Amino acid sequence: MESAIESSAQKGVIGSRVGRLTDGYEKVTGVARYGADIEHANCLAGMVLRSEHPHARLRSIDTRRAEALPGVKAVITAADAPQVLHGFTVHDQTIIARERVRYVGEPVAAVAAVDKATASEALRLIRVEYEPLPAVFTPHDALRSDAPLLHPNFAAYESKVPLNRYGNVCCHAKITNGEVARGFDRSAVIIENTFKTPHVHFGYIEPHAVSAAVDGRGFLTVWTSTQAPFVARAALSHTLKLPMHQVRVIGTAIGGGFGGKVELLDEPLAALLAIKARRAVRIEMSMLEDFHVAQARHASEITLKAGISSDGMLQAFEGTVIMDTGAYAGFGPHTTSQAMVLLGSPYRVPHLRFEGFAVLTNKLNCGALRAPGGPQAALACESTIDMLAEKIGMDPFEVRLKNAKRSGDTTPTGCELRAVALEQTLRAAAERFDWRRAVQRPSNGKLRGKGMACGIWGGSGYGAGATVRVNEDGTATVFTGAVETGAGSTIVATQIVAEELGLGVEDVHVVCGDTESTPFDMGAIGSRTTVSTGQALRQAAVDAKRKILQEAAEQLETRLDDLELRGRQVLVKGVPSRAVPLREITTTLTMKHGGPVMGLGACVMELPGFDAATYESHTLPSKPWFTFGTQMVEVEVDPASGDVEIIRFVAAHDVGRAINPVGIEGQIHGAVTLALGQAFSEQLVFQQGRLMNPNFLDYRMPTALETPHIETIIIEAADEESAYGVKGVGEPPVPPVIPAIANAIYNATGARILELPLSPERVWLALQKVAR
Amino acid sequence: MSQGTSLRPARRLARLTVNRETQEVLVAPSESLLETLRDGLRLTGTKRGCDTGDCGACTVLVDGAPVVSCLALSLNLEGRSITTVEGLAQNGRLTPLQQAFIDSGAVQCGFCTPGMLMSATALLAEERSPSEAAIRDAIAGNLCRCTGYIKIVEAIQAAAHQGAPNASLVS
Repeated sequence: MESAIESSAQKGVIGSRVGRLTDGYEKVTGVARYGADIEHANCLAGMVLRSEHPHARLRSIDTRRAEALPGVKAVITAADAPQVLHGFTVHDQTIIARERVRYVGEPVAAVAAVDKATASEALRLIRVEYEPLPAVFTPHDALRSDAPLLHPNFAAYESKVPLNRYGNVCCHAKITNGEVARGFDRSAVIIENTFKTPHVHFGYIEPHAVSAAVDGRGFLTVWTSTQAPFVARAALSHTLKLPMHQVRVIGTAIGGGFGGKVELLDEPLAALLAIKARRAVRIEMSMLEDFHVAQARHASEITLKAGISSDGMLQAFEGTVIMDTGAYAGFGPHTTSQAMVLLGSPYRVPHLRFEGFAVLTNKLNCGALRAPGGPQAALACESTIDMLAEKIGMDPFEVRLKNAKRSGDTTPTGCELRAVALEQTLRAAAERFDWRRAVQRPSNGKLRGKGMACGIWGGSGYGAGATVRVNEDGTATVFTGAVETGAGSTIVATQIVAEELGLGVEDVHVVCGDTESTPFDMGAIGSRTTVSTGQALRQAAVDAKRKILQEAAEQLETRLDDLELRGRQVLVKGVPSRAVPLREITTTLTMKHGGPVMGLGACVMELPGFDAATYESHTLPSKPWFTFGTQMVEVEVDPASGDVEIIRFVAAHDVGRAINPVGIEGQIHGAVTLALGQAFSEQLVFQQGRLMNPNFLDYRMPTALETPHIETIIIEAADEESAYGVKGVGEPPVPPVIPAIANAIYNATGARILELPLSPERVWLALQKVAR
Repeated sequence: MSQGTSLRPARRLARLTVNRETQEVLVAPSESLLETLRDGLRLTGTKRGCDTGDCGACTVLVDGAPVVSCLALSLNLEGRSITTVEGLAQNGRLTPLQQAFIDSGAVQCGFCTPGMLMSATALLAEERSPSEAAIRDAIAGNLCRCTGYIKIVEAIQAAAHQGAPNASLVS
């Protein structure tokens, strides 16, 4: 790129408040097409037969009666699928159960029929002979030396990262910094606690829905409400043994993802049915199915021993992280590795040693729920900080400020932290919240208290491409593989391209999420889109701009440096009379000279260096960027019921640069509310591997009646490595929420609760112990 | 469905008035309004979330009152006036409520949006300037996982300030 044409970003479109410009109209009028809304001629209804056993050998499957039922067009079992293993890190899974089922809900067979009633009847006619096997339902049982094994030889599976694997442990990770014994020797106070969190459901309102069709050449098209069409394409290509150019994935509108619509679910089954039936097939999960099979947040048990000196300096952390990852490794090695990094990242701890275990159990697979590993680690770390602060008689704000990481510090795996604004978020939150003010004691017999917590989050990198086409009339059409999950990525894309090309946001249209017509993008995972896709979009726009200005420089016989694009015009700096409408230049380029205007952008956010001597069997020693935040909360606890009400909630988060403050506020509101659900009520309840509350009546998510106002503070500590200095914001506000509330409940009542959810029952029981 | 036999129970023609238009549609006795709207009339703006009346994504108006269409039987609704999200805007003009949802950023993934709009439309037809508590109460049956409800409440308040929505929606 020529240095003469630097980014023209000023305080124009970037940073302005933009509503739902791109997707709002179709969503408020019912026009938007989600996974189940895609129409096909002659479409069959697909349905999946799922295991009723948590662990069993598949003796036989007899599909003859189902196949004979009139209206049934295809029945598939493992015999119809290529013998291929897949998985996020470890390839331990098949798309349909082969020889063995390992959780209730695992696909065993699937049918396609003329309508749902026929498909449903066909499922009833399939005879499966199971031989139940001994099962394990908790990590503790799974770790016993005599525990039944889910995978007889797990260590033999291919893994993308070398991992220590044995028995039912799919990843045994370690991190060591310094010598913890020395750190504890220097400590005035040492405490040790064990924190427990349950499985949590993703909670999107749209159940998984996918449709598939094959053309005359056998080329496959899959329409799915995925966060990552290119991830889906790669996985379909791998599991179905089809080259990538024969697989097209079209991302539909998504009714919420939060990390739950990344890995394959029914997509390959719909594809196999469509291939076998030679007709389009749609599979819509019921919410009941979705609860059973569509992954969850890892249940965790974290033991943390911590030491602090009398002057308030942290000395040592020693901890064990156990993640219950379910029947397959899935995201378990990542969640475990990540939680270990996060546990030791907000504060300077000279000596630390962590061990992590991702453990297989006969339950549903766990995935990457918005900030995977974050809330689990933060509950342990931030509760511990408050407990240490109290023991040495120091304000928890002061302890955090004293020990806060600064720019140039590293994570426990030696990954350097840039543009760290933890202190800024602490001070901003404290000022807004008025942290030093004593909490008012209410006269209604209830108990009030305040709490705080900080959080760190690292975003994902991977490739992002973008193409900007400047049309003959000077408007722009943008192509990106990044889908609009609702997080506002298309709005940000519009702003970036408008900013660089001197257009209004209404002059830009974004085409997204189709693997055939848009450039590669890793997808809406790890809070990466604004950072990675944003970088590619800016490059593409600057590339298009260069071509426009080169043509304009020739026409106007002036130097490139003297030109700028603004207000749909090419301007000669200092000579307003010589302005040329942009559309004149782009029409010339398209029709007469030079060629149509296409700008290309491509980006991979580089991973900072890390220290390989600090860890073993760890999947995430480095991430391309990190960000910090601080939250403060005031609660009111009803001692009669254990009910906790939020009186005030302040969230201060560093986003590097706020491109669309409306979207950022929405992300913080949503992330905090999702975590509030986990804090107070959400947990998947299993009995012997069977899910007891697979519906929104028994699995309680926050409604408009329980949710508080959330005051947001946006900090902009620019990261020099990213376009405009941006950092992601989708996940970072999740981790601090729960510990801030737990700390506030303690402050209000004297009850320290180490296990989630902080339900009225649990809070009330804890209060009874304090009273005694 | 065009080919093969079907196990669907015998259906009969029902006369349903949807978005001010009366249509004849084949309906099975056990068929929910949600199924008729989505599969029979191809009005897919109404969303199927839980299908058990817990999430509110399928909320429509029946004679102006919000109803979860997954729990309503289509054959019971002959002669009633049904309004779906597709019936809110008229001649391409959005209602103030729809516009406020866009402007306030009250839409994220948008899957709860049709149901939210219907619940809020019913509220605003009854109360010109509802309190925040009344707004939260009116949308308490509509789950949203994206927004924390904050900008949705703001959008409904903004629309209330601009006056009631199109009165012809609600009888």
